Amino acid sequence: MSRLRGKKELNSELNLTPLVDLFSTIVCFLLIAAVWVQVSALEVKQSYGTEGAPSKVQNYELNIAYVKDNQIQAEFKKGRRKNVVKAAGTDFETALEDLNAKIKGWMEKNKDAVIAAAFIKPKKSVDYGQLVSTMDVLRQNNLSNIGIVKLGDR
Amino acid sequence: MSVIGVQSLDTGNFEHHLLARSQKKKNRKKNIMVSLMLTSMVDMFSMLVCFLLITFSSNPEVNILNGVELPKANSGVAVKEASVIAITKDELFLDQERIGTVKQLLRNPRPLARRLEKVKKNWTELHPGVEFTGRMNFQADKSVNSITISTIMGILTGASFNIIQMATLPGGFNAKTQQQ
Repeated sequence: MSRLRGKKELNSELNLTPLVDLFSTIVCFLLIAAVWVQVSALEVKQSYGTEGAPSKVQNYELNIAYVKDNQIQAEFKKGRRKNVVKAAGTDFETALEDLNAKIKGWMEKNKDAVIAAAFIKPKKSVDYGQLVSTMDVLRQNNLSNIGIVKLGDR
Repeated sequence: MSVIGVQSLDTGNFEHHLLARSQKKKNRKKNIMVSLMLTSMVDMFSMLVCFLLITFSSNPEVNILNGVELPKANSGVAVKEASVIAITKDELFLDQERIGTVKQLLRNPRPLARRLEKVKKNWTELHPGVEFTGRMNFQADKSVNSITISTIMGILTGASFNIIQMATLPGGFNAKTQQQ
């Protein structure tokens, strides 16, 4: 009896201090090591020819060419049939906005047509940033098969 | 008599007694249990660790070379792991290794083509029985001439690297906002 009376209460509390220490170390490490710059990618498939089984759907090819610093030409081509659209603006950005509107307009007009591939022809006065912006416009119009023409190829 | 009795009390001693008592009160140790509520803190830490671990594992490490200012695009997709070709304003690097100046390589692309062959060979050795994907991560400064870009892409295509992932940063032209 005397033994039972003298028994000390067991401390069942978890010692959280080392756990907190560990967590704070892990958090610090992960925060330092994490890459905060969100890099994404625009995929380009550099190959020619979209030959496949003939289908009822009209397959077009879109050729983009830079005419001037503020003028972009879009040529919708299917065999011998060509439909040339010119987008212009006060500068490159506004020309891009116009190109976006023109492509949208053409797509709405030719709902049965499918653009199988789009090719961008580079120009000396056009830099990589502008080239990527053009690709971005095409991508946002659901054109996924984009290629960049190497001068002399086409 | 009583008045005389009170007056006869030693006022100096009484003051001393009061002071000593207040000092004793101050010195008396208070048994206050100060316990931090660590449960919510541990919860927060574990959630933070989980979030950081998930973001850490989902994005492959992308090293952007010094001197490369990436262009902006809104329709970019997640980067897949592959070799990295980086073009600064005047130099070209393949997997962080300098290959040469852009001018030199445009005149004579052989050193780059040789290095690309090596990369392809290493890949096929590391992935036996798997078809070569031909994927290449492409980082270039946004001010580089577009003809230079297309020529280097031509070299890549010639070395069977047909899928080129052009690295971009979020931002740029947004067709959705233009519509509104």
